Amino acid sequence: MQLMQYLYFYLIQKNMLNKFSIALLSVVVLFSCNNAAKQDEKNISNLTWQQTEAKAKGASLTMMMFQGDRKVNKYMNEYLVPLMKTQYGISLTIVPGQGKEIVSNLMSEKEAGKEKSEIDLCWINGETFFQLRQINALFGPYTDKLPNSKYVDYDNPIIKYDFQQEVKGFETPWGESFYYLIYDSSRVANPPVSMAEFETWWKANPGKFTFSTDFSGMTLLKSWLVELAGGMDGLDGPFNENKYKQYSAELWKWINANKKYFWKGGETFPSGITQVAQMYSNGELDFTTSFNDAEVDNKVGEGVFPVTSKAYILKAGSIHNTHYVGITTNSANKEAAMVVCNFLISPEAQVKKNDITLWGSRTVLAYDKLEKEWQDKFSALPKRKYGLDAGYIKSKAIKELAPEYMLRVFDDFRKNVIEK
Amino acid sequence: MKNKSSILSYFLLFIFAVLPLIAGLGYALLYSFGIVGALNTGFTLQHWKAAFADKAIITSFLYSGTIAGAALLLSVSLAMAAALRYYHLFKKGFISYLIYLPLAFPAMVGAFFIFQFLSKGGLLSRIFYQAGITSSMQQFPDWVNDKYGIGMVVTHLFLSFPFFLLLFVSLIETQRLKDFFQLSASLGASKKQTTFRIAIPVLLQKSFPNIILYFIFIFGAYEIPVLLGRSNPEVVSVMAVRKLQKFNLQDIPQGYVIAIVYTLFVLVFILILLKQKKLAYAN
Repeated sequence: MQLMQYLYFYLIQKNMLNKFSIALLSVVVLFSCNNAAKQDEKNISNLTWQQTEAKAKGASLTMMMFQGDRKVNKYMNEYLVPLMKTQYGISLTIVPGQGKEIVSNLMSEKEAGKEKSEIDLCWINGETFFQLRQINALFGPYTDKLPNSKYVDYDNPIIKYDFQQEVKGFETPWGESFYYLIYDSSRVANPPVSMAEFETWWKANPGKFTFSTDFSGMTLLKSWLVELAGGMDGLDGPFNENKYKQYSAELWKWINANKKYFWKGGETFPSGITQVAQMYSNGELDFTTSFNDAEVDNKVGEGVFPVTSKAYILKAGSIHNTHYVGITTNSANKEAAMVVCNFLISPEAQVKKNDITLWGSRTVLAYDKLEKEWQDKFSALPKRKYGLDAGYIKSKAIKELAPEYMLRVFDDFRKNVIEK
Repeated sequence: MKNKSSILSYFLLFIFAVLPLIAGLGYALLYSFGIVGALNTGFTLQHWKAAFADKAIITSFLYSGTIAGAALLLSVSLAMAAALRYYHLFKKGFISYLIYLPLAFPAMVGAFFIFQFLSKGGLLSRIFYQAGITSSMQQFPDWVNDKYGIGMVVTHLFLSFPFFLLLFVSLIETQRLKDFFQLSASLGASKKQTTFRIAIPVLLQKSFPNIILYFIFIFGAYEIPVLLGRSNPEVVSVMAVRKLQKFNLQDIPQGYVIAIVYTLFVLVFILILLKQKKLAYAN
C-alpha cells in the first residue's frame, strides 16, 4: 500500500519529473567537445552541388515545425515528403514543435554535449532565430551554395533581416508574412485604425476587444509603439533604449487608461491567439489578428469565421517578417538538409506554397528573377477573396523591429499592465 | 517473505522516485546558481535574487494553495455526502459505471469542456440567451478566466469528485461502516450523531493521505489553470513554465528557482503531514 502511494505520488509529480528526467539524461550524457562538426563544415564548402546531391541520397532527416494547420500539414505530408523520397532519395520525417520547443530541444542537446542532433531542419522565425544564434545552434552560412538562391532577392530588407538581425546565410527564406487585423463588417462599420480611433471605439463598445499575451498580441503592442514613434520608420534600426523608454511609457499609460473597456475589464488577457480567434468566431470579441495571409479565406471557407469578416491594416503600417528554414549545427546530414532547403525555394515548391487552395503563404522569390514560364504560373494562381491587395500591403510594410523590443515589451507589459 | 517484498519496494521507490528527484533537483540547483546551462557563465546568486525581488512568486504560491483548497473542500464534502446518502446507487448498476466517466477525462479535455460550457460565448450562455434570461453575451457572468478562479475550481471538482466518491464508497465497504451504523443505531445514537461522530471521522481519517496527495496534484496542475486562469495572479506551474520557455533565455534559471522552491515545499508538506498521520494509515 505504501509503495503504491509513493508511486502514485510519483505519477502525480510527473509534470515536474518529466523536466527532471530530461535534466537527468542531460547529466548522464557526458559533456564533450566536438570538433567533428567543424570538420564537416569544411568538407561541405568544398563540394559541388552535384556532389552534395549525391551525398544526400539515402539520408534520413527530421524536420521540426509548426503542425497546427491542416493545410500546412497537407503540403508537407502529401507534397513535399513523397517528392523528396522519389526525387532525391531523402526520407524526411516531420515532427511537431515550434519556437520555444525547438530552442529548448537544441539547448538541452547542447547542454548535454550531444554530438548528433535529433533535429536536422527547423522552421524558424525572428525570435527563434535570435535565440538559436545566441546558443550557436544553427549551421551556416550556406544559402549561397543553394542553386535556387538565384531566385531570391537577398537584399530585400524583409528577407535580409530577421528581426533586424542580418541573416547572413544562416537560414533559408521560405515565405513572407505580415501582421494585420480581422474584423466582422456586419458588427463593426468603420474599424479603428489609429490609436485615437481605437480609444473612441473601445469607449463605445466596451468588452469587445482584447489581445493575447503571446507573440501575436505583443506584435500589436509593437505596432502601436511604431505609431507613437511617428510611423513606419520610427523604430527602424538597432534597439534604442531612450526611444523605447519614452514610447513604451506612453503606451502603458494609454493602455492602463483604457483597459477597463477591454474584454473582462482588461483584468486578464487570453494566453494565445487561438483563444482570441475562437472568441472572435463565436462573437465574444469583434477583432482578431493574424500573420497568415490566407487566414480569412481559409477560416471563412471552413465556416469558422463569419463571411462578413474583413482584413485591414493599422495606421502605422503592417509589421512584415519572413519565415525561414534553418539547419542545425549538429545535424548529421547537412548535405541532405541543404538539398531540401534548395527545393523549398524552387519555383515549383513556391508556386504550390503560394496557392491559396494549398497553403496560401506569400512567396519569397523575386518575381523579376523568375523565368517567364514561372511568372505566368504565379500570375495564374487563384486570387484571395477576403485578403488585402499585395501592392497596398507592400506600401505599408514595416520591417520587424530589433528583437530587444519584443523582449522588453513581453516583460514590461506584464509588469506595467497585467500586474498593475 | 514480508522482508523480501519490502526490500523490493524500497528499491523500486529509489529507482523510480528518489533517484530522478535527486538528479533533477541537483541539476535545477546547478542551473539556478549559474553553474550549468548554455548561457550561464558561473556561480551567481543573481537568479535567486531576481526571482524573489518580485512578489509574484509568493502570491502565486498562496493563490495555487487557495484554488486547491477550495476545490478539495467542495469535492470531498460533496463526494462524502453523496457516498453516505446514495451508497446503494453507486455500488452497482448503471450509475456505478457512469461515475467512472469523468475519471477518463485528461485534465486538458476537462478544462476545454468547461471552457466551452461556461464561457460567455459558451453553451450555458447560449441557453440563457435563448431562454431570455440574458439579453446579450456580456450579461452572462464571468465564470472562466475570472477573478475568483470559478472555472478552475469547477473543473478540478468535476475531475476529482468521482475519484473521491469511489474512494468513499469503497471505504464504507472495507471499513464495514454499515455495521457500525447499525451498531450505533441499536445503541440509541441519532442519525446525525452516527454521521458526524462515526462516518465522517472514519472516512476522513482513512482518506487523509489521498486528500493530501490530491491537494498536491491540484496545487501543481498546469493545463487547467493555463486555459481557465488569469494572466495575474498565476498558479506556480504556469509561472514556472512561462519563465522556462519564454522568449528571454536569460529567464530560464529563474524558472528553475521556482521549480526548486515548489519541490521543496511539496516535500516538506508531505513529510510533515503524512508523518503526523502515520498511525492512521499504517494498517
